[in-house]
Amino acid sequence: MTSAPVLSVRGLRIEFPVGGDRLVAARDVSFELAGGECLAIVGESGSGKSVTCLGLLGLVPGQGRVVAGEVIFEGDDLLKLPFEGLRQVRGEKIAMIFQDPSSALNPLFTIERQIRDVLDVHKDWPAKRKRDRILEVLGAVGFPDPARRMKSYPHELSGGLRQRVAIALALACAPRIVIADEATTNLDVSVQAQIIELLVGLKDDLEFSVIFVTHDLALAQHIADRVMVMYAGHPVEVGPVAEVMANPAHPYTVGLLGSAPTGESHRAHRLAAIPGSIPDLRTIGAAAPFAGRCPVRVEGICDRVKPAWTSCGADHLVACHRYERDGREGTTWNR
Amino acid sequence: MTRYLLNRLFQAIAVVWAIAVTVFVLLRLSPGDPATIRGGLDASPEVIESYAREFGTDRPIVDQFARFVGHAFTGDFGTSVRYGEPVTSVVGQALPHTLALGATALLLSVSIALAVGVAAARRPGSWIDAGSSVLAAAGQAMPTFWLGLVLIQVFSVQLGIFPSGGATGFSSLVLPATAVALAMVPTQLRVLRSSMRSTLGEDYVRTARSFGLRERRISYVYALRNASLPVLTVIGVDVGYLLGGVIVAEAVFNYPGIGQLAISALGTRDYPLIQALAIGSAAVFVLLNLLIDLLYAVVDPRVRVSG
Amino acid sequence: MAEIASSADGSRVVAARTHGPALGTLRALSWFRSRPRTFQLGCALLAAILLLSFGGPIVLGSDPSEQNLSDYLLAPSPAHPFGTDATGRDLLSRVLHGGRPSLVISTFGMLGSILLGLCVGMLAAFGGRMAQRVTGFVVDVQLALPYVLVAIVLVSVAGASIPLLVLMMVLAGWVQVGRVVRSIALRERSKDYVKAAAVVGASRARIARRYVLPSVLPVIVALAPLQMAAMLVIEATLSFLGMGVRPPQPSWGSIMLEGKNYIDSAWWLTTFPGLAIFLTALSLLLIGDGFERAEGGSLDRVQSIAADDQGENLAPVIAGRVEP
Repeated sequence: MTSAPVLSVRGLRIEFPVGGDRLVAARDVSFELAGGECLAIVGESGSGKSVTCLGLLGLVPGQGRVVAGEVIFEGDDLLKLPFEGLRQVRGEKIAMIFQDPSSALNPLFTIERQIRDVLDVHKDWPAKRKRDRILEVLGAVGFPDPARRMKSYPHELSGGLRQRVAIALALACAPRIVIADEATTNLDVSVQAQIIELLVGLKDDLEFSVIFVTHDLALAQHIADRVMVMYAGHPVEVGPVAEVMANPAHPYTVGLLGSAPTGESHRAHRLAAIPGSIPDLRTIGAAAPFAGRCPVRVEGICDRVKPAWTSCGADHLVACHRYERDGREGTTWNR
Repeated sequence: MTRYLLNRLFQAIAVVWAIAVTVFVLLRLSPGDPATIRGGLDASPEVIESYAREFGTDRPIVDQFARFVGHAFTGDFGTSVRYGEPVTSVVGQALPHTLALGATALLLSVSIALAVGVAAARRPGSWIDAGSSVLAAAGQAMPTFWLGLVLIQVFSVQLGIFPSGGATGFSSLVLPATAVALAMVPTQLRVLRSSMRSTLGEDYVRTARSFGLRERRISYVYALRNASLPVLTVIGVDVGYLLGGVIVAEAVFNYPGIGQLAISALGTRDYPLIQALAIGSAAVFVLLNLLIDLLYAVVDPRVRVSG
Repeated sequence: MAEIASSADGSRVVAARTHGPALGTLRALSWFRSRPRTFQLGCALLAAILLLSFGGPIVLGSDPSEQNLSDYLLAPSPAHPFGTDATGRDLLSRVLHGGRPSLVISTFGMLGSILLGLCVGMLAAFGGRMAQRVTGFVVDVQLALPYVLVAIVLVSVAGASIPLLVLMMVLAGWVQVGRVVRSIALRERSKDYVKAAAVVGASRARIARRYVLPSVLPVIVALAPLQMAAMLVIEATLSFLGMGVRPPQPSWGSIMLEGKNYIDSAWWLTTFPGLAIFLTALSLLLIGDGFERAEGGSLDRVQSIAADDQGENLAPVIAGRVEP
């Protein structure tokens, strides 16, 4: 699990122009992903976790731009690659699974055609081999009777099956990294468990790395090796998932965990327990991102200075002024 | 799907029937009588009566309609008053010309709309986007007949590249087809551009992009197929508009098609001819729309199962 | 080109006329300034054309039907800026005189087609099942017949006249309006607050009048200039085919009908009246687009509304047609 990193992201910054202003959707995001590792990026909606993932592959939507940072993959900085080079990485080396399988698949093409299109772009194989590969990946994701049903259209499948197809699509070229962006959020709870199990199994069998984006810390615990917590575009805490769950260091993580009764997964309830809401991303500036809502903020510092990373355990980092001053006792505000 | 198509077929027949009845009744209401006109100013009553018998206009209107429908089913639409020949053969001679013109114009307008609309949707705010708006507005503001006259003026009178009229092979099709097509372009272009824009924002386009598909393939295969559905609807709605444009263009270019026949029927109260033309145009509309329904099912698998 | 030079004054005339007192004028002026350039250009152009068509003949005073056979088919020159026709009449003065009938008749056509379209569209959205079927069927029948063919039938029956011309224009234009009205009315009707009104017992007629009509009307206003442009083109086409305004009373279309015979010798006879139609229609389209943008859409939207029905119902609905 601790081989050399396959992906290392440093100082990633993504901005969107809004009127005359610039909205910083991701600020100074850095992390490494080891081979075969699963990193969970956790945060509520608007925390910049999805846009960070899109930014890795140059897929930031609309007017948004990656303005700084580097994304090192197989010795290249993806952000500096010419478009053609980046395009060849997409889907072949790094593949994505999106949130809503009903809109992420093209309604007018059979699933066979959609998988084959991906193979057509990246693999110079004879037709027979492509066909075999399609059957193989559909089989691997537990798609029933692939030889016959690969001719079906997305609307003929259930939500769970569609998400299996989306995973098959991601696996088609045997990528080194799979980015799952809220891949289970829209599914029924029972289906969600099946898909997670599937993903974990595939990851171990096929030895790819996973970036698992979710707003559900409990879910991250089931699948991830390490977790990075993001808030308002900033990573605030990163560490091994068990360590972070057991000894959360950032007041925001503490809040997330404290408001989550174990075993129960009612999200609205969980986040409601942290008073306030995500700040306006245009006005954070140099402050600590959580300062406005933080029950243990250091007055005069948190709203002026951005905290630096502090070590708080093995492989465990936190960016918090209070922690820097008072240690874990200071940030455990809700016990 | 079968039930749906049967339903549509029934609707189609009803439309043609309604048009046949309306046109028939309307024409019988008119003050002028074809027998009198055919006879001329100083024809004797006997001559007029014999013409009336020949045309069948001396019978009661219901009787006339029944005979008309009966004959129409056997492909007999009567004798043209003006040309003195069976309507079927008069129309038969003109029809190929009109079909060629209509098909060329439709093909041309769809090609222009596709090329410009997709390019404009891919680059919002670019010069081609602005250009497509200008093209759409100009096409809408320019009457087909004037565009035809301008084309004659430039390409045939001044430059002498294309003939100004008649039907002498492909070169004589170019100008009238262009005139008709440019009138159809605005609607098709606008609808395609806006549906293409929204389609390019869909999740599955992002998916395709995230899997490294080429931009051109994403636009022209993945997105265009979805975006073309509303355009199909518009083409169906505009069939009548296309036929109207063809009639006008034929008048401007002295092109020997159905439109010329229709205009020539104006002064002569050529009932059989006008009836046949109205029914024929309704049939074309209805058939093309059925075709588009089928095409819809080909393009969109979701239609195949429902209804 | 003289028309564009007077644009600055022309635009203010239009803006000021819609509001009376000083404050209203100011507000209208600032609203006008906030519109897109193209809208302002359209207003200026239209104002100039109206001014020339209605004021021009009075100022110029020359009789458009005054013939002077020695001036037979003169090319444009300082004395006759647009040239002369085959009977030596000054084309400029004929084009100026031709504007009035074209504009007036088109206005009637526009009003008539919008009224009919509004009625049928609302009926299609609110009538009972039977009414919906019937309107759908009538729309089908209308769409299946090219308006030129309808005109040929009607002129064959009744002979060309101006009331008939207006009727033909109404028949040619109402379906477009009906489609848009129906689709907006249905969309509005399915909104929650309208449904809520139905639940507490508002009648169908009351919902149509109090809840849906107010949101249909702004669209109608935005549609009116577009419809007017379409009517201008249709009027010209029918007159050009000899089914509309007859010579010697000139309208733009009928001037071109005469000009067509001299297409290879006198280009100006068809070019100038054609330009007049084109510029007028264009100015109306620009204005319509400006209204639409004020509503947050564009011309694309108006034209796509009907096609958008697809989203709700995947069957190939021709908008305005009611599927059982």
